[in-house]
This record gives sequence, C-alpha cells and structure tokens, in this order.
Amino acid sequence: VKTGNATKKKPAGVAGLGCICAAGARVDDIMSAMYAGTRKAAAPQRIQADIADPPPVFEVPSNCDKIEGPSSRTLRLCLAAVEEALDNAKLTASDLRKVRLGIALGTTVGCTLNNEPFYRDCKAGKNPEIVPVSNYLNSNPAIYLAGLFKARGPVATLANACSSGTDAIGLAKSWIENGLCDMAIAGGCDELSRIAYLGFFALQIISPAPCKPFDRTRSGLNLGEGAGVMVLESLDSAGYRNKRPLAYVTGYGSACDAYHPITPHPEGIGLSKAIAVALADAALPAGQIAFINAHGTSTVENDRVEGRVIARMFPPLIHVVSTKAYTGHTLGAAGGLEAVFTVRGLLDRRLPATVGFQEEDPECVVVPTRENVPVAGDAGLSTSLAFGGTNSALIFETEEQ
Amino acid sequence: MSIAILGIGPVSALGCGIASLKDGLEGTNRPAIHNHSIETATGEVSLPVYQVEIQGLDRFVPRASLRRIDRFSQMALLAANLAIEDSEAALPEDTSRVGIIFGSAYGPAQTSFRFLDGVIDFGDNCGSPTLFTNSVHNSLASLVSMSLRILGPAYTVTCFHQTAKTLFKTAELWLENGIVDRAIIGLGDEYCPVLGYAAANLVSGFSEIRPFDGRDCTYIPGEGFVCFLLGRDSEASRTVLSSDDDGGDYVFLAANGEREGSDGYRRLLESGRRCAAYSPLFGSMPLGIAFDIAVATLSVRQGHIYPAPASNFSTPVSLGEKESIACVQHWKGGGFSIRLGKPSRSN
Repeated sequence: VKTGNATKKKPAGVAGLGCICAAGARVDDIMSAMYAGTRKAAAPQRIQADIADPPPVFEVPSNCDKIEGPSSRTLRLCLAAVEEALDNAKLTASDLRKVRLGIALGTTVGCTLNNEPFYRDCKAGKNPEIVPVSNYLNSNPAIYLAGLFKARGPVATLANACSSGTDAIGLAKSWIENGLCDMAIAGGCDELSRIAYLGFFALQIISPAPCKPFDRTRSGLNLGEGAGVMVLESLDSAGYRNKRPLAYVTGYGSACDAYHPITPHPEGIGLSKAIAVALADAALPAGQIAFINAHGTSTVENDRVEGRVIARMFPPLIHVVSTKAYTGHTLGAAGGLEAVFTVRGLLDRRLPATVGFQEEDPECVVVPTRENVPVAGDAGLSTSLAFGGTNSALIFETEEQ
Repeated sequence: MSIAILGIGPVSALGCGIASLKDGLEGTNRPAIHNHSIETATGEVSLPVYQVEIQGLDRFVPRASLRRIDRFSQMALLAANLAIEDSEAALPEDTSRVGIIFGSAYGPAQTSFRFLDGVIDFGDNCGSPTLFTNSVHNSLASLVSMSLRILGPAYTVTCFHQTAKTLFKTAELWLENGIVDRAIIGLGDEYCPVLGYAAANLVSGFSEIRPFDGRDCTYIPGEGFVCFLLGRDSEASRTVLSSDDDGGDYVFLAANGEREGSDGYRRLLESGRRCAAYSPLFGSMPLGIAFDIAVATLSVRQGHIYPAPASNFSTPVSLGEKESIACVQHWKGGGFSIRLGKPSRSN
C-alpha cells in the first residue's frame, strides 16, 4: 500500500480534546457517563414530528445548551467543543493568532440550505425575509472558526456524510505532516435536524428503541447531535510551547466502496482498504491495535459488514466498542466524537461497555465490549462508514506506558 | 509543487464539453439564459438565470440508469466523464489509486427542497428516501465513484468562495504524498428557486454582469459543473498548474458581479496587470473560478487568450510558449490563485 509515510516529516500530535453530546457537555463528564453505563435516549424534545411513537434520539440536554453566539445550533455546539479543546490544550484565542492555524471540520446538517419554516413560507408565497439564507451563508463551520481565530492556514468544511469528522481529522493530519500549518482545529459538528430525522425515518433505518450495536436483535440507529474536536499540533509547535502531546494521530486512510448510495459493500472492500491504508500510514501491524471504536450504528447492514471486516483483519479477541450506544449517530460529528473517545480510551487505559448489546450475532462475528474493559496497548483505531460508500479510519497512539 | 491538468469536463450554460466551451469563447455560441418571474415583498422581479441543458450523458451512462439521478448529480457525472474523455492518459486500472474531490457552495439544494416538498405536501411520514439520499452533499461524489468504479478516497468540500483553494490543495497533497495517482476534482452548483428568491431580494435590478464594476452588485445567478482530471506534473504534456502562485502574464479574475472580493480585484486591475474576466459567459457563482481555470487550460493548450467579455487589454491575443495565466479568486479577508502554463514553463 502506498501511503504518505515516505514523505512524512512532521508527525501530528493531539494537544487538546473537546466534546459535547447527549452524554455530557465536557469530555470528562461524557467518559464518566459511559463508564457508568448510563445513556439518555428519549423522544425528541426540540424537534416535532407527526409520526406515531417517534423514535428516540440523543439530544444535548437543555442544561448543557447555554452556549451563546451564532444562530446556527451546529455552530454553537462546535464552539462549545472548541472552547474545551483549547482549554485542554492550554491555548487561548490569542495564541492561535500567532501560529499558522488550519481549520478542518466535518458536518452534514451544518452545511445544508434547507431551513424548513423559510421554505414553507416561500412555497406558500408569503415572501419571507431572507434572514435564514443570510444566517446560512454566515454559518459555515470552518469559515466561521477561521474568521474567529484569524486562521492563516488551510480551511475546509468537509461534507462527507457520516465520515466527515474522521476525514476532517485525517485532512488536518496531512496539513501538519506537510507543513501547511502549525496547529489545526479538527473534528465534526452537527445538530439534530427534523429533516434528517424524517429522512432517516423514510429510509427505515431508525430504531424504535435505544440502539443495540452488534446485537442480534438490533433494529436500526438512533440519531444524535453534538460536536467532537481536537487540537492537532506539530511537534515543533508543541516543543516551542514546551508541551507534550496527549497522543499522536499516526494513521489515516479513506476508500470508496463504489457499490451503493447507502448500503456498505457486502464484503466491506472500502472499509478494508481504508483500514489497511491507515495501518500502513502508521506503520503498525493489525496486532498492535489495542481496540477499535467501531462505527457501529446498530443498523443491520453496517454492523454485519463492519464486524466481518474487523474479524477478518484483526486478532480474534480485539476489543471493539460502539460509543454510538451513548451518543446516537451524530452524523457529521460522529467521527470527531469517536476520535476523541479513542484518544481518551488510550489515556484512560479502559473502554466502556457497549450499552444495549446483549445477544451475540454470528453474522457480525465480533462481540463488542459487554462491560468496561482495560486497554492493554498504545494504539486505537476509529472507523467510519458513510452514505455514498465512503469509508475512513484513523489510528491514534500514545507513548508507551 | 505543480500538477498536471490531464483533462477538463465543462458543463455550463454554454453547453456540455470542450467544443461548446470553445464555441462560446469564440462567440459562435451564446449562454442559455432563462428568465424566471419571482414574487418578492416589493413586487415581481424578472430574474435572468444562466442554465444548463444536460446533453450527451447517455453517451457515458445508460439512459435507464439516469431515472433516479437528480439533475445536479447528472451535471457532475457528465463533467467527470467529459474530463476523462478529454484526458491525454487513461485512468489507472487499479481504481483505488484514483481519488475524487468535489466541491459546491450549496450542495444538492434543489433535491433537499424536493424532499421537503414531500413532507409539506403529504405529511411527515411521506418523505422520499431516494430524494433524502440524493440530498446529502456527497451524493455527487458517491454517484461518480459508483459509476466509474473508483475505489480511492472521495471528499466533498463546501466552503463557499474558499472551496476551490481547498480542492486543488487537497489534490496536490494526495498526488504528492502518493495517496492517489489521479484525482478527479469537480466544482459547481445548481440553480434552484430558493436561491433565485434570495437573489431577487438581495440584488436590485438585473441587466448584465459587469465583472469590473466593484461598486454595484451586478450578480446574475448561474449554474454548472466543471471536472478536472489531475495527475503528477511529470505526466503533463499540455498544461500544469501551481497553486498559491499569482504570477502570470495574464490574470483571469473570478469577478462575477458580487461585491465579495471586489477590493482585491480592483487592486489587481489598478496594478496594471493584464486582467480578464469570463463570468458573463457562465453566470455568477461562488465557485465560478472553476470555469476560469477551464478557460485558462484551453487557452494554454491553444496558445491564445480567448476573447474576454471584460478585460483591460485587447483580446484575443497569442499566448507565448513561456507565458502563463493566473486564475485569481478573492473573498472578504483572503484570496487564492493558481498559475497555469505549459509544462516546460512551470516545472
């Protein structure tokens, strides 16, 4: 596998982590909730749908939703996570203005021009004010943050559906490695949207109950919302600040299935390729991966394909967790959240149980964590499978402990 | 680093493919502009829109398989196939060595609204799963990957005026780092009535795009999609480009009647450099620089600068073997430029 390894000169360190999701408003709180096995799936509060027995969602609790700022809720969630990540990295906004800062953020809802009330009024001939369009034009996540921090490095809002957050971190990694920036804010953000809720309902892949990743009786996903971001930093920059990175993002790969708009390839060819590229990029054998934070949406097809690929590529007893059991599927934010949880799994030396999982499914082959488990190893893998057949994988490593 | 432009696939109001583009540039073909009547709070507005008529896609894709593919995706699929057809080198057999990077400002907005139509007209449980699937931003890249069996990475980027910069930079990284051997990059947008409504409310009076008039907004919406097949510079025989390089004997400004970036364009015009703008042939689009790059590619190949609807020098004019063209886009607080020339000049 040809990768960027040959030209890699500037490894990307992880300087800080930030998250907000249904499980909590800060990374520590979220990890505590996951280690305690608590989750908060409930009927949607902020969005209403004229559907009998509305399927549960994972919403950011109202007591966590005090963020002020832009009109876009996606952006407000993002800003909350960024604030925590900067605090965790011991950086201020003025510090960021002194470096070449890159911004790579993934989103789906956050880049979609489909304000429903506005469109209803347009359709009804009510000549609505175009404020929602102006708000949309001013709410592009990466552009907004680039303006906020006067970023002088590259800027990208990635809309790669459910792998957006993973790809954003992978792209930012390449910027650092190639010397395009000294630091990068990277991850994903998405609010819960009524349109996405109705769309996934139409696709019949939403579960009527809290999700059960990899379980034999799983019946679909739950939507969620949130943001997960990390501050990446070149080793030169970390050295200049006299800071040791929390971890390193050492491997990234992405590949297409070229198979179906929403269903993964039955043999997972794209996912296998993405993982293989990431392993080669990190120069690690599969046996060195201590655990996998799987995409694990709890849909029949995703978990079957992903489980089979993992079983084929990794040793039989590798730990596999799906943290979507605690966050729901946060779409463009998912890869960002799960990357943060992967780093924390390495730092905490443990993984949470995959809550909801009870019954093994021979079709999935793998059995996810049934209880909190210790992590023995210094490398973790996070995978994403997206609409459109995009598959991506990130590898994080900590220094030997 | 410079990269090779191996093929271009333009789909615009001038038509589909290089021949239509060339005819448009030479004045033997005019852009298709349709007038739309739009009701605003202050009265009815007649909005001209540069619109695409998709032609020739069935040369590449069976007509029956187009049934479930929306119009914007069809533009992208056609542009990708045209770029490959125009290429001086075939795609590698191992398509995991080919990547896709698409960008748009608004994504499949019209398809999103069509999904909403189902919900509004028939109820919350009546949204179309097909329309929802096609309303996701990366559905275009997905469709092209499926149609061409491309197994490498696929990105979709959406950062308004900054999109082209991100696309070309990412392609450069992928090629330089050995992630891929070919990159298909594509940029464009589709007109939809909601965007027309916004334009009708934001702009007072629509007559013609005046790219060099930085005082008044002379925006007229356009649509289209352009794909470029890119490879490493060592493979180029016709055109190479280098990003972040505003050197060049001629400058193509992405000025399109918007006020966004007009200060930057004014400075370039005042600098005395030879500047041209082609947006009156394609319409105003945040990603309109893509069409400028297509025109510049063709200019380098043909060895002359085509007649420009707006320029501060006489066109057409010969382009010397060692001369190059910079395509420049400005936005509030930033800008982007790439330089195109013959391989010997830029390598």
